[in-house]
Amino acid sequence: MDGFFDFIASVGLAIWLMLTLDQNTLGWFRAHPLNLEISATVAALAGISTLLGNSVVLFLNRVRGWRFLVTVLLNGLAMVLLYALQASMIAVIGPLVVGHTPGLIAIMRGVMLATAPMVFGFLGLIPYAGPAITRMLQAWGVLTLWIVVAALFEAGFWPSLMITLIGWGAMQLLSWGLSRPVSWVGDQIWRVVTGKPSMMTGHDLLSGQMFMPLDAGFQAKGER
Amino acid sequence: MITTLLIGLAVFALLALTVAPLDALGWWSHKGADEAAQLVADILDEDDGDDTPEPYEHYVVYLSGIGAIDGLSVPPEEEPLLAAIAALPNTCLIRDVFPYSVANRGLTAQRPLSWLWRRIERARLKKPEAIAGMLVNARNAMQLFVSADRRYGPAYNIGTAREVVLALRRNGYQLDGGKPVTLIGWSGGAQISIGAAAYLGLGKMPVRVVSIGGMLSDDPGLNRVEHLWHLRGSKDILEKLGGVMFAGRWPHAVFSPWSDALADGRIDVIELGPMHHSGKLHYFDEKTIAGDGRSYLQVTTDAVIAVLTGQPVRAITAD
Repeated sequence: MDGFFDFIASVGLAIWLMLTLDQNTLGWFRAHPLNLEISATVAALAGISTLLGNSVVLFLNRVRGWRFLVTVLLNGLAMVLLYALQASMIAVIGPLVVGHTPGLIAIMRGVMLATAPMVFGFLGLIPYAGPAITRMLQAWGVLTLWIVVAALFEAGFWPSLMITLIGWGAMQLLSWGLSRPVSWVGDQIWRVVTGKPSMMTGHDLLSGQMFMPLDAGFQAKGER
Repeated sequence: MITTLLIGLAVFALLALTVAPLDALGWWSHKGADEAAQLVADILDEDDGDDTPEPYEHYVVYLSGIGAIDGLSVPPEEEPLLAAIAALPNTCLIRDVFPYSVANRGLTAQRPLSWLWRRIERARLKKPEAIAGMLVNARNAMQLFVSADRRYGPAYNIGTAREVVLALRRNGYQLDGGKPVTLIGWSGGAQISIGAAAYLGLGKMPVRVVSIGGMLSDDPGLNRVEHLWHLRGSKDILEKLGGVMFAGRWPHAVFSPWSDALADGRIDVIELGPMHHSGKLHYFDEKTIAGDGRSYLQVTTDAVIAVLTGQPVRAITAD
């Protein structure tokens, strides 16, 4: 039982050190015998929290029970793939910039650890301030990734920044580029499962456009 | 010790804010979407076939401030204003809509924490300035932000719009009749009013809003408001906070319903005098007498009545 609490304390410490952008985090982390488990736990917590923060779209689409669970799991899978891509991109770009590599596994661990700020992703649910908090956490995530990359590659200010931005940018580009086809596939599945025309997305809601119940045949007539 | 207490309070506040939208989302997910669909269909119906004449020419719906605990718990200090509105000829005053619940469910109604709110209400009745009473304000203020949020707002506001429509119908209002409806929102009730207007104004209903010290956002509902009179005190910090917190209300904000409504001349911002939001010297203070011999309460009441009757507002300039 003590081992379990030690592990929880280590996860908490890892999150705290990343949040405070402590440059010595990686030294402590490398020496920890359970560093893979710690990084995986941090990433899992960040993933669950982020998905909770984004779950408002599921509520609005009245997704409940097993469909809620499946949707959250699929979104979680997509998130894992995006971060795996980010790690792969860093693993490719890093050696080209600095001439050596710490190895893919170490990079994967580092990228997972760098997701620490998103442990607070659930705060995205906060009314009005939520989206801004999410953006702030994402920006914080870039900073933690920068710290991790600098330590992993033993690189200076500019090389580590370049590797970080390329890795992060690739993830953003892919996320943006795939959002339409993924939405289309999701929409087709939604139609088959529910018989309704389309699923309201987070983008629909965040855009500030008025939305209405899907079956209401809503047309705004009264715009003044 | 104090640091720990402050951290604890901050964590509690963050968690309370995080779960604040769940009331509205739960309602939407459970039955709200169906009820909302019916509401929109009713509002958009050009002619429902019922030609029963309405008993009033003008309907006024009063949405109370964030201190309200249910639809009927209007603080005594606001009663003279309501009495003055009710005395207007051909005017129906509706005052039983609780603006801080999508289902018009008071805090002491069937809720998991209703026991707590009942205790707080009892404490507040004994001692109005009790700290516990601030919990009611905090809880309702959070719902104000749910209403102003672009993600939750549409679901929340259609819930309150539905409650307003139900109350109007109870008083003989015909949705296809085109009789004017004025929502009077005090404090947080003003934001809820412009939020609900997004749906109320979809069809034939001409919707006007009177805000008394309202903490207003740049809600898309402003696009469907015929006119907004924003009555404010020059020393009202909370009202001013609305103009700072909601970026769409910043001067020259683009793509902002507030800016659009201002440009269209659909918003009148009227400074009543040196009123504060709460505490002493507030809008409903009957003890403080202005230079022209009227109490602050009378100034506010006169202003609302003037707006409702199309008369010029008589403001005051000094304590």
